[in-house]
Amino acid sequence: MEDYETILIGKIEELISKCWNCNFCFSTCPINQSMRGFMTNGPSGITQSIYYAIKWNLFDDKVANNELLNILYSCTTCNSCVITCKEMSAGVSILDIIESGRKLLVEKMIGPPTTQKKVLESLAKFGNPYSQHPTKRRQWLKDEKVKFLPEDSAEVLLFIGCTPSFDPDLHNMARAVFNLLKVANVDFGILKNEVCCGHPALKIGDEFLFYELRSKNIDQIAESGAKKIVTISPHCFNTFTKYYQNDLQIEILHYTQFLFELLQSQKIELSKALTAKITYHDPCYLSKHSEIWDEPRKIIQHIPNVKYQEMPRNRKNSFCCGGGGGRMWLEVEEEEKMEKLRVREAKMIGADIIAVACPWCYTMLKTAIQEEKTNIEIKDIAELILNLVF
Amino acid sequence: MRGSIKELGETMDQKISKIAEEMSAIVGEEFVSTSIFERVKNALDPFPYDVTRDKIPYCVVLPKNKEEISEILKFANKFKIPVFVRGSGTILTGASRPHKPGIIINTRRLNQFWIYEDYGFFEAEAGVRCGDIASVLSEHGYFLPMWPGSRVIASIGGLASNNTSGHVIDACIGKSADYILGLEVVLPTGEILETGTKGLRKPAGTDLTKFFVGGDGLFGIITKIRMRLVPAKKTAYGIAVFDDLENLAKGVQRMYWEKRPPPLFMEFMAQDVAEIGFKVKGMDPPNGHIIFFVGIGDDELEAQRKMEKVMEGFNKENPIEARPITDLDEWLKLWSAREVIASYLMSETGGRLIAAEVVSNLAQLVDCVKDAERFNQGLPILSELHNYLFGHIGALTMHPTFLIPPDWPEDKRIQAVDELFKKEAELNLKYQTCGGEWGQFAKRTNFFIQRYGNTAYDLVKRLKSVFDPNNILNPGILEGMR
Repeated sequence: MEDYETILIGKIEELISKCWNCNFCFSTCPINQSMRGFMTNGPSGITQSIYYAIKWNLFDDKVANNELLNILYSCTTCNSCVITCKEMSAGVSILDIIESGRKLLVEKMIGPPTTQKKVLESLAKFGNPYSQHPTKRRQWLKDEKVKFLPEDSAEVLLFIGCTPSFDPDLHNMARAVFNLLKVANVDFGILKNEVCCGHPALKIGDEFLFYELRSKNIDQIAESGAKKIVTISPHCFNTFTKYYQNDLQIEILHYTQFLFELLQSQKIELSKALTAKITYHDPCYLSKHSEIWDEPRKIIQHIPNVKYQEMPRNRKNSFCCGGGGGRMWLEVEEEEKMEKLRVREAKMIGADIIAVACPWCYTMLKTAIQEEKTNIEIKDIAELILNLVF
Repeated sequence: MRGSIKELGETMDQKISKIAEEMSAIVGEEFVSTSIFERVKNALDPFPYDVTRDKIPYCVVLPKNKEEISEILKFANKFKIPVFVRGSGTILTGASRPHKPGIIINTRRLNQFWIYEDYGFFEAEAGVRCGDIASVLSEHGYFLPMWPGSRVIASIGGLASNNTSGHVIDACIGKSADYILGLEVVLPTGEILETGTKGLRKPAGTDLTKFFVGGDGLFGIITKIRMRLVPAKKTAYGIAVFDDLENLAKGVQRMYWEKRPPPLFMEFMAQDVAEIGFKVKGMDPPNGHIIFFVGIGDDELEAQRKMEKVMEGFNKENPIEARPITDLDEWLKLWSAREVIASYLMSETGGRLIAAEVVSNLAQLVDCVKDAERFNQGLPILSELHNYLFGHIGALTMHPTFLIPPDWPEDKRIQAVDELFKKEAELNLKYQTCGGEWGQFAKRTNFFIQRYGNTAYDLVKRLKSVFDPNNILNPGILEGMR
């Protein structure tokens, strides 16, 4: 019987055998643009590193382990390389190799980096990555009344996610989606004992912790009888569609998809216009992982008076904000921060507002806007719309 | 022993540490890597076999400018340390794979690009990617007269060092060297050189640019390239389908013999290859071998007229079908069907691609196409594999292409690559040609000697020793040690 480590190694070796080092994947990799330009700062550089670590059994070498840790965890898991390789080269599952490499490092107790270890500990202890007591999860709700599933029943389960729940800066995002569902008279509720969807555990490389978290959510969701799950974060959305849906047989939507339906069916109507030039930043897990690019744009274009303009890199060619793949909890040495490069792109086209649809993109780009000292505003799409309803 | 790497330390670790220290003093610590993984990745290329430990570099250095490169080379000369220059490492002849430890100069940070419309040229540092240059030029109404398959990643320095224009037909618009007005070069001994002109007229008489453009990286490190701006052209498209390769080849000969204007691109796919590409793109299967081409002109009428002239030639060779393509979507589908073949095959089979570059002379194109079709017949290893034949037939170039199965052992993979280049050499000798896309040495050194003789080879070696007395720059390429 093969043990977990052997299975991971076998998987990595099989997947990487297709890579022919054409390096086409570097052409769209954000870390290759933001970091110093070493070949290990790019997709096939990362995958070849884990391959040679296995091939030459470098896991007893502390220096090599430390290098490998930095290389593997620098990736934002944005999926650009996978798309490029599929379209232009051998169709290597690059991200699977990187994520399996991370799992291998965790299994060998080499990884993850210290700051991410704390995230895993927090996920195991509190059910969220922010070392927050679970009782604080509903502070954003204030005194609002809401159905708690599965004790109550509702058509729609609004999955808030950890960042909008715990980060005070993102409470408005949770409230905006919440209030828009109320405006539209949607029969919805939230999980009474929501825990993290498990996305950070998966990306950091602790698969078993992920399945523990998943089982806590999935039992409640199954019991609730909800017909739809609406998520605020694209990361939760992606995790649900990829890792929950098979066992749930339930429709899963990102809030921008649901909001677009509500606008189309006139369950939400805008009473105000907005005179501004708005651009939209595609979150990787909504766009490059899930191919959802139209609905967020259509929502923005639905706003009277708005001048919508794309940034040069958009949709499947969009540029990552730098926050994915566990990098929210990791300081990566970059020549140019990805989020700053992205804000400069928005500045270049003269945007007044960058609209986002992801809590982490919001945080990353907001920080970059402050550091870049520009007048561009950052708005979550739900907030943008809610402000125009009343 | 003075002036030897041995002075830097007894053990490998000592040497690495000392070299890295010296490199850090030149470019800054953050731009030097001794990471084993970085060193390995910089020793890899598209060949389907792994790198061995004895060949990985001492360190990888990312210089920012010619002055830093000059200092690196002076140091390397002092201690006779090999220096391998690396752009994106995409070449398919092994030229970017070091055969022994050395310092890797990676050109990634030589990434500045300027357009001087008032002067009529652009300048690019060696590490700028071809695809990025093409995009910016396109925004300004110009086009880059190079189209390598690896354009999204290939660096302009590597392209210039090989004087390649990729898939573009030489007879239509020439090669890189025809557009390069001048260079900035660092000699292997560290001196910095400027060649050429800022005018739009290339030098008559001695022009040192010629040693470096197409110099296979032997004589110096190109750090900056100045190229003439070429106004974008209008295009018109055509396709012809033949039931046999002989007629297809005759159609191409007729184009040249009847003085019809060679198009910018003229690609062909053998029927079985076209079937794959068409299937991937959701098109009906082709009923023969496919040839498709792009006429160019200053206006649409000229482009169309040129394309039609080529078409007339093909019509005389009994095609199953020959027609213009006016629907851009159809053209793009056809073009992408050609582009996806290699990726689809690799993706489906899990095999690693190797390809030869068989180049014909015009008179014997019919025979050469047949030879390319039976490229692997009778070969001990490659005969086990299917020959996927496609290429740039307008440039009289064919790529017999093979997919090395994932379960083949390393030694068999190495032998397969050797066999491929041996057969490529045999055919290019037969037709008295040479490769037009990927450089002349590395895996092709034996061919060079057979094709041009020892006198020519010795001349190149002597030239090399004039530029590079200690043979520190990209050693092994000329010697064929790849």
